[in-house]
Amino acid sequence: MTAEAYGDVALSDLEFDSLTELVNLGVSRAASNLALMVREEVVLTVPKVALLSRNDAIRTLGERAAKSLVAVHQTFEGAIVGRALLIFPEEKSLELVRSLVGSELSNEEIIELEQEALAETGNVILNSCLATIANSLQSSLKMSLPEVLRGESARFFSLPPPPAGGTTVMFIYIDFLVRRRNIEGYIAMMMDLPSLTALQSLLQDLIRRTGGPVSG
Amino acid sequence: MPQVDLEQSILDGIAVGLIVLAADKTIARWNTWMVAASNRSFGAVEGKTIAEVFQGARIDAVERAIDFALTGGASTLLTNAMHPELLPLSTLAGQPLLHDVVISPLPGAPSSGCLLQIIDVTEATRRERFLRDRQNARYYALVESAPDVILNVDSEGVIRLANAAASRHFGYSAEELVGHKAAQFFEPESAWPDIWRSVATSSVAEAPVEVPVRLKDGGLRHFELSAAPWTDGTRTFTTAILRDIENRRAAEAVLRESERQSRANERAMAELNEALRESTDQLRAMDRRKNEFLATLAHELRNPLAPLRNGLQLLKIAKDDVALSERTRHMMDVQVGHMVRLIDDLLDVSRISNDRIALTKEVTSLDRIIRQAVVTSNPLIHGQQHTLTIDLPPHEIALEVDAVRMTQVFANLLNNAAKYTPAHGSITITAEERDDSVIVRVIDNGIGIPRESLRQVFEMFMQVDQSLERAQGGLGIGLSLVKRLVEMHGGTVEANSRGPGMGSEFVVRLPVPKRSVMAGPAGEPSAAPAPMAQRILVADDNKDAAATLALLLKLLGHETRTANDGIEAVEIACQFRPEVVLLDIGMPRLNGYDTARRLRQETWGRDLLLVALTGWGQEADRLKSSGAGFDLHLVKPINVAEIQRLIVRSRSSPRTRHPA
Amino acid sequence: MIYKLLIVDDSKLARMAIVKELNACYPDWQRIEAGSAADALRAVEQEQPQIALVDFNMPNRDGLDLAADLRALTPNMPIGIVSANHQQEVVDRARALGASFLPKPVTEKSLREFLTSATKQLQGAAS
Repeated sequence: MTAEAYGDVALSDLEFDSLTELVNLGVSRAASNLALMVREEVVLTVPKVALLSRNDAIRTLGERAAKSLVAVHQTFEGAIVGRALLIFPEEKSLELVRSLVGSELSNEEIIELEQEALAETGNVILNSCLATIANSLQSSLKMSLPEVLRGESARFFSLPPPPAGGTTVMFIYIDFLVRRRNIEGYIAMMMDLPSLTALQSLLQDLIRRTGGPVSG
Repeated sequence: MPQVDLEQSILDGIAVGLIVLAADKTIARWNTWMVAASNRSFGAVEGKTIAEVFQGARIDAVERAIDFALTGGASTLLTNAMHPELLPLSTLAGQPLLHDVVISPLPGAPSSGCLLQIIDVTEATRRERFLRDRQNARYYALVESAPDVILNVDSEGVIRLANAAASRHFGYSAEELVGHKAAQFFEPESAWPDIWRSVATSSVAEAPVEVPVRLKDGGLRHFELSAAPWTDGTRTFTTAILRDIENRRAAEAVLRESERQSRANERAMAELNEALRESTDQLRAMDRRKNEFLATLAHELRNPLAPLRNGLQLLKIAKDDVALSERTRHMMDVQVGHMVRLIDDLLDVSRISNDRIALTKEVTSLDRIIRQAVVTSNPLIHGQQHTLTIDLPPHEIALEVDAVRMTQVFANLLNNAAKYTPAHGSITITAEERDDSVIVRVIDNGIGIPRESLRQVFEMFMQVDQSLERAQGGLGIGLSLVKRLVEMHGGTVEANSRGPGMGSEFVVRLPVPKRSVMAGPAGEPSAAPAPMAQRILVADDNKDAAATLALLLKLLGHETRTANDGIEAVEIACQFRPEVVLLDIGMPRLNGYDTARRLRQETWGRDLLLVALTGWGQEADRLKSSGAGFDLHLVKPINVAEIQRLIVRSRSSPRTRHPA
Repeated sequence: MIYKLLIVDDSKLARMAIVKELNACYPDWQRIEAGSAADALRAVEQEQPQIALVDFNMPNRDGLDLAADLRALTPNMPIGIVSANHQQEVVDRARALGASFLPKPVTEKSLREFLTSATKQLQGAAS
């Protein structure tokens, strides 16, 4: 796949609405799966979905979290190609890990397990999202295994692009709430979308399948 | 090599467990590694699901992952760290095989199946665990055994670790500390952010800060806090060490207090030393003056002896020359008078030093006292050709004083005025009544007193100008005697002077008794009516002394007898029935005391005036004589006028009747 | 019987999906769409639907909150909560409100099940 020009591809309202709905679906599914891991109620909500240029994305993330971050990285390929990064801001992630593995462990043990716990959490969320999106779009995707990265926000966007790199980034803020523990925070998911055109065409197919022409 | 063989060889050769599941989740491939690890052959597992093969194992995560792979194309990594015992596998040595599981879809949409890889992490995990345990042991030993409080606080200020010392010192259990905000344990809570900021933002541990901590039991205790931040790559923590300094603070407070005390003590010591130095200086000065006094005294006592001796010679030689004899006698009298005065002064000094002056108070008039004082100091005043002015109020002012002593007071003051005023000076003595006191002033226009000496003039042995005093034949004790006597009467005396050459003024204040009754025996003025004649017995083992005294008394109009020892005195008294008996104490055969007792035993002896004549004038002696029955106690040499006065007085007032 | 169905979801696609399934079950029923809780309440006032399908995951006010309001307004209205997040807690909370739970995406089968019981409930109440 050759690199395409982006930024000029604009989704219509309905297309964007559909994309948002897919993301919501995916994240809700992720919440269910996480809940099975945590054995407590997990609420994930999506306050914001945005399509940004890479530079804008770096800036946005920089505003929110300038310090070093921890992220889970997976690539996906199929009709759409790209990478997904689940970014955990510092303190909250450790809380999340603690809720995943139990509070009986000491701080040190939690820190040691952090790598694996985040990897698995990220893995579940990303898989849920991506799988749901893929299914809805009736397009199969193959996801890689998770990899844990640490670094500044800028670094995450400067990773060598997968075979087909892109400059459009889908930015998703996910608020999570593990109710009984009163842990709340946010996760940022970024999807590199080299093939925004492909995505658009898949969305249009979905809309057609669902209701045909726009009603009301 | 046939493809199938290669595939099988690869499957059986690789060092990971490999399971291939078909789209219906049943096992299609099971490699050699899996056989060894699970102890199940391919034949035993073919066509079954994972759940069926590993019944009872907690593999929900695996099943979910399988679903994800088959339906969603998702790959999942299940780590041993997160899932300690996924599948029941063992190593070749029979130990539990720790493993990670990777589940990924096979290509196709929908997937034609999925792949499970089982990766042995036993060694790595064991090594990690060993290293970690060793690390933890080291860490634990250090942290848990530390006597100081050690806390790990995350970037949100929540305590993530608290060592045993923390619970010990603060009183909170580990659960009450870990997971809670550190700020709530400090007092005040609001101080915490500032402390934390300064501590956390420096890369080097700052100088320790003193913080008060609210303990579980409610008490407040101070700790020294030092802290350093550390990071595990993504997030920062701060390790804080708190050392209990409450005891140190208490000790510091005690130390400060004891230092303050010791400084105060030092100051007090310095003051004491200063006072000691002063009083030592004063004592030394006093000692010096006393020595000078003794020297002067010795000198003074010797002075009259020469003329006395000469006089005796003269009297022997010129016994027929009446005029010469008379002059000589007069001169000798004067000299004896000097000596008597000197010795009296000496005795007074002794009495003052030993606090032994006894007052005999009586109600008398100021007028009489002052006039008597004037008589006493007349020779000196006239000798210097001073003019004396007496200015007393016309009415009688009554005083309850020891007449003899008070006369002595004013006589001293007049003598001083006379001595310290150049010839042809003027001396004034005035008196006025004011409120409850009488104020007597002795004023002269003499050499005056320097300002700084105004208070010192009353000190014992003090002589402002020694040469002058000596010339006048004094010992420098006059004023101190004056002060003592006046104060014993409840009065005050002070010296005023405008300075050298400006004259002096001595002011005596005496309290006036409320009742101005002039009852009781009156003082006998010098110009008194002729005394009544008395029968007087004089007993002294010194024949001449007895004889001369008797003669003098006879000349005054009395009838006299003499005795030379106690027995004789009693015998003569029996016959003579004297009204007055003058007994010398130190007599042979029967001493004065015993004689007195004997006399008192007689009926006629009870009312007579018994006077002891003695060389000792101490209080003890007086008591002894009055105990023996004496009415009066006179110190030799006797002044006949005094005896006269006493006789008159005793005869004109009721006396104590002595019991038998 | 022809009923009025209220469909509440902030996503147009989701509403479209439900409409599609509804067409498969009861094509002649009336359908009212609302994109937010506020719109939904207005629609209830104006149109008086008898049955409601509410998306759980909506910004501002979640579906369960809205469902509680609807329950207060019309105590007997059959309500279905739609969510991809079928955690036990969500299901329980829906049940507590007397609402059913439908996983997302809504299938024809699950929709039919819900509507059948809903009509039964309404008919039962009417008689």
